[in-house]
Amino acid sequence: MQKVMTDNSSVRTPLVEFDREKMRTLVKSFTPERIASFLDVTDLKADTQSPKMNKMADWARTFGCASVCVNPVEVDILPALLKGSSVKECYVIDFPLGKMDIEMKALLSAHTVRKSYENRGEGKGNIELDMVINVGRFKKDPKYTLEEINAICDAAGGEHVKVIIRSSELTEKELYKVSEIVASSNAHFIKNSTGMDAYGATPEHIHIMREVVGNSKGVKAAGGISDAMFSMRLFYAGAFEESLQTPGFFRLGTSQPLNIMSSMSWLAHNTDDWIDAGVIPCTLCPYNQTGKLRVEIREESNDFCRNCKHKEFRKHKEF
Amino acid sequence: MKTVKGGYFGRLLRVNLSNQTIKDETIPEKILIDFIGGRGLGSKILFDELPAGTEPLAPSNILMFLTGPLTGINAPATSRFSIVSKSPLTGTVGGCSAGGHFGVDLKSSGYDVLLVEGKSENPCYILIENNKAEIRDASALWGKSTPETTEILKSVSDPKAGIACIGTAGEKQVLMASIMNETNHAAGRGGLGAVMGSKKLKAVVVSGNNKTPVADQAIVDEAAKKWRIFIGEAPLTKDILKEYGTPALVKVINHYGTFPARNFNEGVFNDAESISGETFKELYFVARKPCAGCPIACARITQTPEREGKGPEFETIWSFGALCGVNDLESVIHANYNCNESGIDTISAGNAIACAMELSEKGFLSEEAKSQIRGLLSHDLKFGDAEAIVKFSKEMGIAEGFGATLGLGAARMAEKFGHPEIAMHVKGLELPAYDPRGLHGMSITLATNNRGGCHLRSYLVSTEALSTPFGINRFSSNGKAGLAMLYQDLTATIDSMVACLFTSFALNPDLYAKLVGSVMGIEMSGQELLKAGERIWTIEKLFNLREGKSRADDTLPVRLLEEPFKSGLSKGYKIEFQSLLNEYYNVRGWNHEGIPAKEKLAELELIAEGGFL
Repeated sequence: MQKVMTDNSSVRTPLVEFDREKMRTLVKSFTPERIASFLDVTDLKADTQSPKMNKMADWARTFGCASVCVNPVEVDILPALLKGSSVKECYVIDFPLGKMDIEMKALLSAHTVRKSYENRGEGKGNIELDMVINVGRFKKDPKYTLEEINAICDAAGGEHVKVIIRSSELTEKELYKVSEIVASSNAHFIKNSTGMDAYGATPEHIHIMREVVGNSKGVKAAGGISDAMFSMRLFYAGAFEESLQTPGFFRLGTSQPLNIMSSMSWLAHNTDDWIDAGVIPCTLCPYNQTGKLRVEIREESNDFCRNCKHKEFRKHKEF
Repeated sequence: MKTVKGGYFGRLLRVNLSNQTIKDETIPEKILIDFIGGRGLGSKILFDELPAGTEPLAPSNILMFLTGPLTGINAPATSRFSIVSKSPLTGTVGGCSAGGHFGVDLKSSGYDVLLVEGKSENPCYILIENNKAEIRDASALWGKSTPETTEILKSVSDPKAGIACIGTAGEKQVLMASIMNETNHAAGRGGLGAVMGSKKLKAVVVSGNNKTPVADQAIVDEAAKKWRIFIGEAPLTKDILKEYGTPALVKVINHYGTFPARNFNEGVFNDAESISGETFKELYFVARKPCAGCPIACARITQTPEREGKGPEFETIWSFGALCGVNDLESVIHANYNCNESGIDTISAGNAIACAMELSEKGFLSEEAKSQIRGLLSHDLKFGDAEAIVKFSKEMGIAEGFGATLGLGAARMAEKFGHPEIAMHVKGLELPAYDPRGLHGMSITLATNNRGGCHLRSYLVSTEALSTPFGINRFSSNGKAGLAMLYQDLTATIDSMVACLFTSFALNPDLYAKLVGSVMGIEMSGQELLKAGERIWTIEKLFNLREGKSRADDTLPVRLLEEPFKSGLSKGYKIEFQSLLNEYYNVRGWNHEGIPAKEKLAELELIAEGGFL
């Protein structure tokens, strides 16, 4: 399953280009209303206050988004705002670093779920937890990660758990490995990023995650998703099959849901032209992102760039 | 058969200044449906009423002030208005829009359109108050600056009235003269101020309390609420324009290597920091001054140690700054104030000076011109001369000395000195601040623009540089012909409904259609709205074809096509222009010469208009 580089001759081009007809078919199957149903409306900033919570809940209810995703402290506000709607509450656990021990993570999870039940009063099935794994421990001991994920799932009492793997801090080999661990866990979704990592979602990473977890789990893309075209590229990578195009199997975490919906309308007009206009490939590529990375990941990225057919763009960083 | 149930009074006020008559006319409903209002309606009337070859500064040219169906309905960013006439600078269809509150006041006066024809014997102004209009003497105002004129007119009419006027540049029929409203808002491009001056019309004053009718207030309120939500959350309209105004673009466009410096000889201005939006805000910002009912609030009041005024906008900072190689922001601000006071288009003015700087440095100016320049500056003109932009912006406004030559515009001036290749223009209109060598989609939108080298009729920069609604490959021509058409057609409708173009950073074709449709009481999809936009674009094209414009006019200066940049993030790229132009014509349903096919005219219900082809 793994497509790990062995030498330069085997370096492949990451997913930065998309088949025109397939993309066209995909785009044509979406409307602003439909794409809204895949969105986790997100605000995880330190200074988020209740007016913003009200706003997010209002957008999610008005446009039929999947969930509102916030820090656990908001569990005293959010349930009441979403009560009576089909919009789920989503809380991030041990965010953004994932450096609590397993017990503390589980306690926070159980506490958050219990408070949500109390405040919403609508029983089970209205809450989701997006937990961050301990990436450092994973690199040393992958079994620790499986234990960690399952502990949170237990604490969540059957509520959906999404596992944030911080893919920008992983080599390609590690990305495959952690995806396999999530696939074998009790979690419901794998999610690439906190949105505060070195970089956010890329089609390449979402593609690898889907490739590994198959059709048994959901994939959530997050980080830097602010428009419909990029969203469509992520769908292409992570939910191209129609059966996967449900909120149960694919999500987009975004702080800009309105932008995504509005740009979906633009995309519906002149779809072919937008697709043909394309994008500078490096802007979609995880291996272009080298600034804040560890040495081993940067070196892997450099290998990709050196052997990439799009290296002309990278040469002058003309984007 | 569609029926209009709101958005208009259906009234056009025709003022003939030659025989001093005022006539109230009904606007046919079909024209409103087909051409929406504002720019579209103006272009249709211009096409119907103006015989080919009419001299733009002759009494027979007409000048229209137009509102749209959204004017006065209290939706966000809809206080603008359009002015349409034949441009004396380009000889093409000429149209502008401006902010402030004049548009709302014109609508409140009870008219959708004011059409001025003929020529007054003496300076005059038109006063419209609540369905009544009169022509008044303006002899005492002739020679006054635009702020002086505005203040005097405020004192003799409703102090809250909308006032559009010309300064000395318009009076002297300088070909790049603008029309200013509420002192500092400009309908700048194409020299429509000169048309106003040619009619001896100093100002238009409008006020009233008529309320724009709408088909169903509740549906309109709902659609307008959506506009507010989306405008309130999009990054550009929520934060960036509010904090820095349009000068926020300086660093962005410069970063991409698409910020034309030194008369388009370079794509990067090394001193961009000195003239950036951040520096502007830090040193000269006083307060925001939003147009009526606008949540974006991009306009700003500014102050230097010596003077106070509004602006400059990004384009002005660029034209007097980077384009002239000037890094002194204070001088740029003063040049801007000078232009506003005399009523001059700042883009054209800065371009003309930059063009003269290059002509001067290359030794192409005549002895007479050199002597005029030395008379004003005591030295020869060269790039980077901050003193020159301040002094010449003033001299252009009174059409004196070398300022009179600059006022001809870059194209005529460069031609006069035997070097037309030095002028950076399309169809005679000086180019804006986005170099197509690094924004290939902009090449086709600038070249095919019906009013000449202007960015505001199809702002592909939005997607190519600002990633709104999403980013695309700025170095590729793929898909750009179709996207140019999309932006041209949509912008035609935005200018016709009449809304601010900046709303397009947040809204989309469907949201525009929803609000316009609900005001008019007509079910309208985004696609149908775009079809109206195509009709508007095509009637403008037909106007230009009838005036003798051709494929040869749909092009860019040779420098932009033949000389790739040597440095910056856009270096080395060349535009495949002719193939892109062919593709564009094809996408539009036009033949190789850019002439709309009969089938296309039939589809747009423009068969009669295309009869001359």
